[in-house]
Amino acid sequence: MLIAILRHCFKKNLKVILTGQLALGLPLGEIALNQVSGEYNKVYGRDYVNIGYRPGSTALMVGIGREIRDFFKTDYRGVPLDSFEFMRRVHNYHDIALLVTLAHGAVADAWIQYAGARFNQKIIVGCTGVNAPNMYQYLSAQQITGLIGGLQGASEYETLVEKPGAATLGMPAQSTAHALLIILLIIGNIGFILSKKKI
Amino acid sequence: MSSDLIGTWLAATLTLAIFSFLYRDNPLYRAAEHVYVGISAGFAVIYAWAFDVYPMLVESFKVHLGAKNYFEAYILIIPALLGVAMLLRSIPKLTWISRWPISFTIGIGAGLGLIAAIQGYLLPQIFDTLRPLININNAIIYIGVITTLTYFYFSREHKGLTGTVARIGIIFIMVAFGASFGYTVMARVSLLIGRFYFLFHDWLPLIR
Amino acid sequence: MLYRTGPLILVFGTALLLIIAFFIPHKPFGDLEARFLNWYAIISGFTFLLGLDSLARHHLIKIVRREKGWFYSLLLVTSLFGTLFWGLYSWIRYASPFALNAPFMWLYKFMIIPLQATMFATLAFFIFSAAYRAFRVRNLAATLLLIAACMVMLGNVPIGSSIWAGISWLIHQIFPNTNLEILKRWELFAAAKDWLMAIPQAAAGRGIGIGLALGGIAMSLRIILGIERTYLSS
Repeated sequence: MLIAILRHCFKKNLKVILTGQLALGLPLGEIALNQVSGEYNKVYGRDYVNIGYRPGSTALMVGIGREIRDFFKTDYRGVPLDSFEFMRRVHNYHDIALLVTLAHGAVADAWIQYAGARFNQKIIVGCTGVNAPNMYQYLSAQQITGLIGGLQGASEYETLVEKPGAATLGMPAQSTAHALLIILLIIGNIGFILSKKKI
Repeated sequence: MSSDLIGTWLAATLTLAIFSFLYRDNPLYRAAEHVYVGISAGFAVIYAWAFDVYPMLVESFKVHLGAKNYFEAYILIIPALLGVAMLLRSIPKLTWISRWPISFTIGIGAGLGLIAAIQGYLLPQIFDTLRPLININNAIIYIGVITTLTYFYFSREHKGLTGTVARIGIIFIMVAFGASFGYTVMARVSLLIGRFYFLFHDWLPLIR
Repeated sequence: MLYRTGPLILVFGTALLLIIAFFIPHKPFGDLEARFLNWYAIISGFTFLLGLDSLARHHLIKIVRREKGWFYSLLLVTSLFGTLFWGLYSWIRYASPFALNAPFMWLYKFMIIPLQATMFATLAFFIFSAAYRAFRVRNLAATLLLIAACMVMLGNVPIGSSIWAGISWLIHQIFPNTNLEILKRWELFAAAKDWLMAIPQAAAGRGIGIGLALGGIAMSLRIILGIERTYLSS
């Protein structure tokens, strides 16, 4: 999902700022940036930055509404943000056209409720399948502009950017697993109905 | 042997060790589980230092001091002390000190949470529900929200009209749970596919 | 004062300040809010370390006393300090522990990712057995649960389209007057899933969410006003 979104951004020559809200997920972002930036000849600091992770969650989301440097004075590698030309123009949500949150659990809800509602930040959510149903209410209320739900959403996005990847590759297996589960459910229910009739 | 090759074999061993739990709890699984907890805890310490203490305290202090901004530099002692006070929770005689940083964070959390719940969730969601009843979908949303709320309203016994409304609520709740289950299946299966892809592509190159 | 009243006043004061700063984001409230949010982030980083002491102590005691399962504790402690060592080594050697070629990231790539992903992947097996138990057509509620789950599962994968194409063909064979292409384009499972998610599912989710938000507001008020004090217990 992240790879497809990065490809889309770089294809459209958008500047990307990556940050992590879950400590253990952050290196995945760095790995993806490293991979995709090479495909589009994008240069670190000129076209994209990884500002890393800071604790604070909701406080950080609200705080960025005033000044991103209150939390991130340096990037992932400890280089000052102001040493990157395009970052000198970025101070708060006014300077961020679109916030894409790739989340599981309550992180997406927090971005919507704290950054979206308070600062009118335009948000797109990409989330795990477990969390996707919860996002439909925000989509309906136009609190988010778009939703990429689970592996299916990721494969659709890969199709959109015309570069099939891991998600598209996984869809046949996913189809088989779903079909198998439905067949098992049907067999189980036939057995259940028959056993009920016998009693 | 390259470090990537060793890593792939190690990752495959750990993957299989965790999967072995599907048969039953066994020493291999327990070993992998303990390694996971140990590494995660080690990661947490490095994270706390690399992304919190060092950039937000040490570096900020140095930058402000360098700019001769003494007030901004020395005021950082307050959050530093509060952070250290938080750690005193594990010393029984000094536990009471940790109440101060906890109160500070609880206060911030409650203040932010109160606003977010009202402005970030309640109002936009209620506004979106109050739609003109000009089509069936708007009516279903209206009925769904009211009946679900009624189902979770326990201050009144679910009898008579309340009971009927609550029973309609169950229909919506079951549809929502079913849909959630469908999505959860997708999520878990996709992770399983990821692991099998690793085993049969990265480790044993059986699939291309 | 130090034990109870002070912390209660602190909770009230900080929460009130943030609420005022929301309505009046100007000096001095705005500045104070920014400072407090920054401090909050700093302090919450320390919570990472909170469990470390008890975790390490618990397992070190087990190793020293050779209690049952001490070998697993040894593995845990070794992993913990090994990770710390590689983290510090990577920091010194590669300027950042998170440099992609640093040994610390090797640990992440080949140990953390497989362990965490596999832990969650095993749930796929349990979810299959849970489905068998929960999805029996015992009553209306269970039937609805089953239908919604199946619709979503079919609507989310390409096989749903293939099945619908087969059904369309069957309908066309029975009723030759129907247009097969139009029938196929309906994509019944995907359309049903989209509708289920956007209308009834979202409505129920919103009902539950509004209940939770009201509960959250009540709890926040209880905390701010000092009625809820469980966080002060040791």
